Amino acid sequence: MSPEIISILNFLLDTPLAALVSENEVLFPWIESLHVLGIALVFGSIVVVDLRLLGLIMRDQAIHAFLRQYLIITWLAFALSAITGAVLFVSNAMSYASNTNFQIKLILLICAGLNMVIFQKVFAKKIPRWLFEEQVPRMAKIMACISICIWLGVVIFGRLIGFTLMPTIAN
Amino acid sequence: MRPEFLLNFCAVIEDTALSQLIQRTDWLIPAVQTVHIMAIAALLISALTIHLRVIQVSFTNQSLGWTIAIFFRVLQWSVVVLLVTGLVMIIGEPARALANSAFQIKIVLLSIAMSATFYLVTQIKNTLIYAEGTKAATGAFRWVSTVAIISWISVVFSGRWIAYT
Repeated sequence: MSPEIISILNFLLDTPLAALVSENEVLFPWIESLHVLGIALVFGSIVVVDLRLLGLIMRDQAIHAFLRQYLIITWLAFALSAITGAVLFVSNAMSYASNTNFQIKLILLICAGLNMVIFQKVFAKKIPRWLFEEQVPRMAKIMACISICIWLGVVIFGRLIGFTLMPTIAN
Repeated sequence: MRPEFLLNFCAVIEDTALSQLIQRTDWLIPAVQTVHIMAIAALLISALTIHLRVIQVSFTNQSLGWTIAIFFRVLQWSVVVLLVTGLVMIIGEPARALANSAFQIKIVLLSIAMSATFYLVTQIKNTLIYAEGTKAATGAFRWVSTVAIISWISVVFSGRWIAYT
């Protein structure tokens, strides 16, 4: 790790927020519970959306309306996960940053974000015209498959952090 | 609650060959916990879809009968996966689960959430609401759905607290 990154991590560890979360026996589990809830809802809603795009579930439902309803849950849950995840990171920044599983999870999250941005950029204007999966372009279906794989990875490596983080609070 | 007989029971489970095997296999618990979380995700999104539709907060353009027909099946399978993976974790570390107050609370909340959801689905299937599809559910059903949502979310919280108590 470069000295610049180490100094940033030390700065984060010295913040009152880091002290508050790491020294409070109750706060960390509560924030982690909210994080798990957020991740579960993000994962669940994204998989439902991707499976619909692939035409594997709810084929009689118009895609556009279907996506719109689930993406509200996705974004709310993502905001919850991101905020709680950031707080958890600050509380033990050095350990998280040097944890391989955390690094992989972060890379996967960046990939998921890029996948979503590209999807929006390319297909945003066309989505309202999609009623059934025959109208979904092959590229959109490929991106839905990639999305499912990435989010599976996020859950897997996210859980592995609990078993490899040093010093760990709990698993 | 950690009564003597429960601790003895945990000790008996811990001495079984299956428990020893689970304890010796390093990758098994992380793998099972990962599947457990994925099943929680499937369960939560199914439960939310059903109950938010009943409360009329979201998914209102989907028929109630159709929503239940699809998502209740997913919910049932998620519960099966959760029970199987949960059982593996209990056999692997019985005292950590059975003698843990967070786990005991989780079981109570799980019973409430499952009872509320199963009651609601059965009642709706037996009424005109299911047949007519888009018709709004009654006030009583909305209350049951609200209790179910709160219970399912509380199940997730108590599950995570097992690691800390």
